[in-house]
Amino acid sequence: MNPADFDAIRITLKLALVSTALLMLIAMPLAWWLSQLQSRFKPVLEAMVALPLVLPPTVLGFYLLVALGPQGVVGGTLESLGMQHLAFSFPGLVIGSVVYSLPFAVQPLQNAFSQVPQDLLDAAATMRAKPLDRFFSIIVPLTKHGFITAGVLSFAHTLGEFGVVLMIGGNIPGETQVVSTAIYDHVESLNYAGANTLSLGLLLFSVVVLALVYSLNRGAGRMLGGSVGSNTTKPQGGRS
Amino acid sequence: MRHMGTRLKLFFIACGWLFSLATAFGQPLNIAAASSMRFVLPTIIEQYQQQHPEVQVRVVYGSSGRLYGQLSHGAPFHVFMSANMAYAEQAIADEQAIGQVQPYAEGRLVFWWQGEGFGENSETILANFLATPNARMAIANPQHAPYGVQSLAWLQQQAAWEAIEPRLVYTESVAQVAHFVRSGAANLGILALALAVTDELTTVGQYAPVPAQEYAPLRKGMVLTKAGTQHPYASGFMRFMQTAKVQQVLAQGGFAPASSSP
Repeated sequence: MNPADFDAIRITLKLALVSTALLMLIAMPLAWWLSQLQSRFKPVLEAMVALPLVLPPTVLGFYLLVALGPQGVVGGTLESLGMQHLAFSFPGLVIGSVVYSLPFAVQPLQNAFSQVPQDLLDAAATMRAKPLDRFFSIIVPLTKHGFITAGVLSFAHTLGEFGVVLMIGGNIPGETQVVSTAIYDHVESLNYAGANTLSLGLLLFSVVVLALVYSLNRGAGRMLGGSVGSNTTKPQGGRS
Repeated sequence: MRHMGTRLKLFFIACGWLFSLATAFGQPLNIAAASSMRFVLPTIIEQYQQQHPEVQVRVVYGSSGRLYGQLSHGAPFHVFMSANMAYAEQAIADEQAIGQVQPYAEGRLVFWWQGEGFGENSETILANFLATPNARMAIANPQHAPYGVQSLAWLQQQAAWEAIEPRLVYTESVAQVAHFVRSGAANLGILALALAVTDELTTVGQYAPVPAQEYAPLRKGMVLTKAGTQHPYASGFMRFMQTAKVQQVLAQGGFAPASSSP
């Protein structure tokens, strides 16, 4: 491994940590709001959150590049305020990762939240528990597994990202080159040994991370909405 | 006491000055280079850094069209080394780059394959290729890779073009042609001589030239980008590229010298 590889690993971990932290902050209120929402527009909102699952990364990468670059809405505004645009920068990568991994954070949380029995919350409310108090003393403990799943999946998904980070990051060594794009570079320069080392590392790391989620979620049936990929949401509107 | 104060002040001013100098000079030099430069540029940069150990040089490789696109979206490149003149000229026309396009080398096209020979000249190579069932030929994507443009133009002149076309696969950059053939996914590739002569490729495969008189010369130009004008080393690096020593490295690396004729 050359120094650029270590840089790539450092940047990848930093990106995954920062993105996951931001995602949890964004996804928590969003998932709660979606889980409580009773609107005919709900499917549209859910579809928008799920979009990154089906869209090619190139589409997202392209739109983000155009928006964050110097001529874009976001990048151009920043430039006119005397700041740097965000294309090909670490903050730009973070924005891309947050958008791209959003469903991986929102969906497990929304699943978990929608299974919290309303009567528990009502009971707490009659005991004068404030909404925030109810959230932290009832909802969070009951949906712990949802939080773990959301956090770990966001983290793991950010590690594995390629298309978006290549398009908006530009694969600049030491700045925006992450492990997945460093592998791409090694393959292109026929450095198969280098590509192999990084690929194997990423593979093993991903297996460990996913095994960790599954083992943490074992017996999650007793808890609420933990298991990876579980879509068993309670029928909406079933609350009395 | 006042004397001490002045000295202290001077000390801080000196520190500040040194610090600003360090940050201005500490900024790495970012070079965007055509992927055909992938094997020869590290040697050149090594030589450059023997003269300038104080500057860190970083290179982003890719097809020239992609790099041009990144530059126009604000990528922090200081020097853009295109595989042709057109993308470099375009960068100046768009005001992404300043000054003149400086030609630095000329590229050549070669066939490259692994294992048993396809032949000595282009006719036998193409005939053998077409005679191999399900054989695939990799060329760089002509939409954004200059080598791909010339490869496609040359192939289109061939009598067997209609038989060749459905067998083509397109790669992201000319360097990726080597990967496609090396991995066995494609049987034959057209790539830059500068790639074919490297140890990585000669140990596993063979090459034969595409007749140089049958395609337009791949003149390569580099430009100083807008960001590059702010970098203390960018224009110096471009001058370094023109030195006899570097031109010799380029010649050994499979490039012809840059001709200034249009």
